[in-house]
Amino acid sequence: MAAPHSPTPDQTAWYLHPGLPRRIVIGLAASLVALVLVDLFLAFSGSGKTPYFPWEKWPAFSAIAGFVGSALLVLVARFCLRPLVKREESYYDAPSHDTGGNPDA
Amino acid sequence: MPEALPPFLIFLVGAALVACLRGRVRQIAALAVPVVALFNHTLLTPGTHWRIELLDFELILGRIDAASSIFLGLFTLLAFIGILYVVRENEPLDLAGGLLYAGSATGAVLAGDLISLFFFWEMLTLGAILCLLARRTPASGRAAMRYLFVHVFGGVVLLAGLVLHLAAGGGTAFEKITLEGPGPWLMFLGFGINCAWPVVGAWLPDTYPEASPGGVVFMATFTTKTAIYVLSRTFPGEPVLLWIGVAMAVIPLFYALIENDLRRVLAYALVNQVGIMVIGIGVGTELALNGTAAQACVHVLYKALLFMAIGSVILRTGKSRASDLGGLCQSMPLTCLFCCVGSVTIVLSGFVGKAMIKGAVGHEGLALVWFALLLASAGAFVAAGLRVPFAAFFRRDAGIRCEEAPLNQLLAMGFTAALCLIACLLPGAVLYPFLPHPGTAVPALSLGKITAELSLALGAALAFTVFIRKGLFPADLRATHLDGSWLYRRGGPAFYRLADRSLNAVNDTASRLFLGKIVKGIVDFFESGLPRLACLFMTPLWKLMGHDAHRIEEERHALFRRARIGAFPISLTAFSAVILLGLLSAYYYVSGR
Repeated sequence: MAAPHSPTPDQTAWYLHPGLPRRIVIGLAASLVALVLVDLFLAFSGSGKTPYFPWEKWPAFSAIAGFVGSALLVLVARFCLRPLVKREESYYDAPSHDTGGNPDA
Repeated sequence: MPEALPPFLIFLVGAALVACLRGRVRQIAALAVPVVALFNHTLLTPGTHWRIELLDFELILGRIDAASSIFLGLFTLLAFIGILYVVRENEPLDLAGGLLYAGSATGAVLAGDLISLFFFWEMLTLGAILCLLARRTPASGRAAMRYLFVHVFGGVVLLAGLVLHLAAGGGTAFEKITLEGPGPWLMFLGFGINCAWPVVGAWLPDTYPEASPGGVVFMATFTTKTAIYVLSRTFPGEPVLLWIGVAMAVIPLFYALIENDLRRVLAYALVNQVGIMVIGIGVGTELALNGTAAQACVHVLYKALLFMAIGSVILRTGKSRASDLGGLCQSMPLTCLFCCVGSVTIVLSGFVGKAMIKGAVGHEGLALVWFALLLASAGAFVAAGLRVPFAAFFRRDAGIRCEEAPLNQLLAMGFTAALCLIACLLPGAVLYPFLPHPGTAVPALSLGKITAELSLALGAALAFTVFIRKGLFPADLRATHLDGSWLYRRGGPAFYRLADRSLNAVNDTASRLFLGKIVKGIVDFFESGLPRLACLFMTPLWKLMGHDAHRIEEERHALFRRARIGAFPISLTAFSAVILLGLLSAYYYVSGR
């Protein structure tokens, strides 16, 4: 069951390349800009979606909502919820050996 | 053409058979059961089948219409995928439990009356318990007890509601019920407990991570989605469901972002997606109910896929905590690929069921609910779609070198991944014709909608990447996060202690007062009270007879002793009888009789 561990983790794996996170951010930002441009084109050409609410027509609304909404969730979870609800891992343990869902505990 | 059998019968007989068999024969039988059920599914014809008379009730075990067919097909398909995933381990609890679970879920979906629905509804719990016990750890055993505790409570609530509903003349029809009076409200709550509503649904993220790697695939499929089907049939369009759905869609996301156990992350994200379905039921229009069914189908597929991917990680590494994992894309590239397909499907589902629910919410002008849906979609992608594969397969090399998932699991995951993509990319061919209201037009997918959904997902992905880079994302901590399960995990024992102290204190006080004081007083009275009374009565007589104090004391002692044991000299008894007769004569004389 237990997996063999390599003594020295591989630091040269492709997904650990130091420049990768930056490239991902640039790639995502560029894709978003492209989508916003398509959105703008659709808005001006009048062939865009038929919105139920006025804000749906705002260019880049979805992109900003996705970014801000996720950021808000992460920040609230980290700075508001976690300090309130975090307890030690053995909080619910009966006298002995609850592994908290992990057989390796 | 052969006649179709009741699908639940195939699963239930199959479960019993599998429980009795051993070795390779058990594996073959377990795989054959869902294959037979899938073939049987093609033979089913719309209408009402398999009626049974029970006492004064007519039970309908086979109501096949558009609304039940789609869930029936989905459950049968997932039973096959789940069994294929667990077949190699040949764990009887997983195999028999999964089939029993599938039988209960298909039985509940096919039920045409509330009594047979209740019967199959309760059987679901048994299947889940077996899937939990299949992990065979002390923690999973305790989780099974907690699951049983909550679902027995839910079952009692549902039964109480059903009895009150029947007593009020509501009838046994499993159709739309008006939410008025205690019966329907209790039934509503009973369904809600299985649907993982806020607080009462804390059992889900509490227990799912304790199940066996394959058992959780059945759990993630059957219980909540049966509840969704039942709610969409009985209480569509109830406004309170909108806000229950909003709470379900948003609150669990916060937990999913800070939780360490990746299966618990998926469990919270599951509640979030079920919340979106509950919103659809709350809107209650045909479009919304179609969206709910479509969302249930796609969600079941990608959630099963994600649970299977992490299940394979557990099988190979024994670990499921984000803090212990990382870099498994090297050792388990195919599992990683399938997990990523599951993540992409979260985004693609925005073009299918979620788009329909969102459209229905927009059509009703529910701006706040619409915003909650937006947040729920973005948050689910970050919490389950990005964080889970990132933590398990990328992020860092945790130094784990293991084998790829076994072939049967890869086949199960590959098949599910293909279904995910087909359902999302070709919904018009494989999904929309089978929706509960096939006549309702599905909103066209315009370029504007596609850019909006993609922008939302990419915006969320950008936030995730930036937060990870800047170290702002919540760290993976080995910790317990308190949620609604606290109420029964800590509240249960506290309630026991409170009851122990308060009720036993009342018991002690009553015991001391009643046994120690009152009963003792009565016993004392009958033991020595009458002799004392006799002494009191005799003392003036002895004085009149001229006895001195010493003699009187001796007489008192002698009388007291004799009176206590009831041994009087005959003369004294005769004297008392004369006195009594005299008193009676006097009484009759005075009263004139």
